[in-house]
Amino acid sequence: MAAAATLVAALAVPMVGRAADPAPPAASLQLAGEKTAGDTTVILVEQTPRKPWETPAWAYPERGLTFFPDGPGKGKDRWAIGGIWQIAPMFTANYTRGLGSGFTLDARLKTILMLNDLGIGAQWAARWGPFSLGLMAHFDGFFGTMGKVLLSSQFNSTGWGVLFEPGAKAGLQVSKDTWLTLQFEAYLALYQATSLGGLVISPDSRMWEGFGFTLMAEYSPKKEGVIYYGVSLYNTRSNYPIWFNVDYSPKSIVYLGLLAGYEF
Amino acid sequence: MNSDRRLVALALVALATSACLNRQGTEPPVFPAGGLLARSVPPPIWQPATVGATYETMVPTLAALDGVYSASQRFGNPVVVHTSLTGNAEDKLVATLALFSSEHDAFALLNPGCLVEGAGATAVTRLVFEGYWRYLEFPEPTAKETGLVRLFVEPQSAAEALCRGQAVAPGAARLVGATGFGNTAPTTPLEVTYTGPRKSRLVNGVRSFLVGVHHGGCQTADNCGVSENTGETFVLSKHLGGDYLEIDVRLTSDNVPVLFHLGLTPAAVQGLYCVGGIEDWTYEQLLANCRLRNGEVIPRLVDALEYGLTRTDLIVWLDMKVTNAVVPATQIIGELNQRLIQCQPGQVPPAGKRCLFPGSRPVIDRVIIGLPSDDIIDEYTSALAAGQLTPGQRCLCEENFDAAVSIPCQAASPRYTRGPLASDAEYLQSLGKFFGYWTINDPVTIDAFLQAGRPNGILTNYLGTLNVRWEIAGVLPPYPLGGTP
Repeated sequence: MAAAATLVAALAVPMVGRAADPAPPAASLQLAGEKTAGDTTVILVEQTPRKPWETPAWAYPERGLTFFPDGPGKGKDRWAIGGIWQIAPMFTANYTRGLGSGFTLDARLKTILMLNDLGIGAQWAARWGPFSLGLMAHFDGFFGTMGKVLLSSQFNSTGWGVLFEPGAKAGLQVSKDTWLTLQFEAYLALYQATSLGGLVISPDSRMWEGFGFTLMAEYSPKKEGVIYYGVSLYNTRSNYPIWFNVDYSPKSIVYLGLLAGYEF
Repeated sequence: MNSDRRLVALALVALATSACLNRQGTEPPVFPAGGLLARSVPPPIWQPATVGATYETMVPTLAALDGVYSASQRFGNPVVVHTSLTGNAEDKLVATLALFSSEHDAFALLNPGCLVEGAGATAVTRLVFEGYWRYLEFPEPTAKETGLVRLFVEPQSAAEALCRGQAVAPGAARLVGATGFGNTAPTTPLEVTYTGPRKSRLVNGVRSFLVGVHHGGCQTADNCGVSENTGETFVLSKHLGGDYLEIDVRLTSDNVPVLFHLGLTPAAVQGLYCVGGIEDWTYEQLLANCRLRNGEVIPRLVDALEYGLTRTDLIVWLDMKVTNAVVPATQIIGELNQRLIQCQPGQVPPAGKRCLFPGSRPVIDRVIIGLPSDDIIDEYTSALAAGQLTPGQRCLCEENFDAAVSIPCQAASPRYTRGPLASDAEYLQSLGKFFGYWTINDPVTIDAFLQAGRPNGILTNYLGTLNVRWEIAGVLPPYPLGGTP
């Protein structure tokens, strides 16, 4: 019987998986019986099937993900570049670095020359099986300009400001190579100003500028590079950020965004 | 069948086939059964006139209530009280009193009525105003953002004087009553107390600052019950304190100038087949297939102008959205200039002619062709050289100030995103030209441009707010306005 127990323990060791993969939890083997016929002993065991996300095929990429709440993991980092169509198309770049204990630092850039937004922030996340939840906050500085060169003779304007953007994320691994993330982010204006032909105006800005939801998928079949894509729904002031203040209205507007890119 | 009769026939067919097209915008609340106004009579429109008085010298009775006030609730401070007359000699002139506040872009529109309470020696005449209030900040107002309002003029002596058509001294009257929510009866007390006269808009006796109306008194998307770019919005614009109205001119595929801003989208129009652009349709097809959000037809330029010019004294800026609308538009202005004439009290217009709004200037002085871009400026100057413009035709250059001087145009009105352009403004104003901005809606930006640019006008979607900001931050232009916008 002692030999049988030893064998059960040995069988519990994963049979597949790369050395670099984190070891999934051992499957539970139960000794169901033992039959001896002549000099042959047959040990009967029952194995509780492992959940898909407990198998090596569903392993999290070694260098993590940019948008999934877990982030890249301690000491790991990722770069990502892409684009977002949000009223106007913009190029995007992201850098994330894991700090351990669920914490991640990140920097992000959106630019279309006439609007440039650079943000830094941090997040904390925890994972339960395929689920991951995170909290985050960013400070964004933006600067933009519109004038004859970049748009038309109807503009001679620059704008700048600082935004605070707290938010939360919920992630779910849906297959061995795809992770979904739903992100909520609120937009609060700490300071903003615009120069219209040299006349600088800093409205008595309300803190609340609006919010956005983003649902995105990160796809990494080889657990190395990652393709991401998603859709956003925004509800913001019509001139958020002030830079788009070409037809101010106190009302909020709802609009969509599309984003896609690649994580290195 | 001539063209007009065909249009009438088509309009009837369109009415029948589009019966399923209902108003889509919300409507302002109304008092049940007409409220107290249903059993009152309007006060005299004019203060007693001397024999031979002309409309230019006559004073509306309720103008005595114009001023800057303080409100005890709902509207914040300051509140501007603005009275206006609309309607024409053929219909009955209607007096309207408006309250404006820049808090929530609030306004209230009320009509007056004189009530006799009691009988015999104890009879008392009261002057009541009833109407609705609205926070324009909320484009789809709930009952918390619009409601009924009823105000009485106090003291009694002021009410009785106004109901006799007699003037009262500035500040002699206050408005006391209540507001409500939605269509419920007004029960929240409101007192509107006079604090001072409105700031002068005259330079050397010439009115030199004007409030500009962008597309209409209220944007279609703001759900005031009247769509932008219609004849009806002329009247709403006047109620809300507008002085000049910018409307958009496009041409149908059969060369009929109509008022419309951009594309035929559900945000602006209704109708299953009402898609594409104005230029894709003949006018008859538009009439058969399209209704504006509040149920109006897309108006022909000639119809909207005739309606608006006979019911208000607004100056009209025709924003040419397409180059080929310039010549048809100036021809319509010329035709209306012949047909709509200035009348004086008691005057009956000759056959085939109609009276302009009492006291208003001739059509040729009031309807200005706007030139937003260089290609439309080229079209206009070509028409000018070819003698195709109506003699005396006025124009406005939006961005090209050199053209405004060389053509010459009477006005310039750049987009505010270029900045105040103070030196350009002063130069053009020194030539007697109008200089304004389009389109500023944010109160802080309005204040900054009023002070930095000292313009003759600002185009806005929030007329009440601009009227209030003028009282707070307005600075008169350096020169009297020599032309018109």
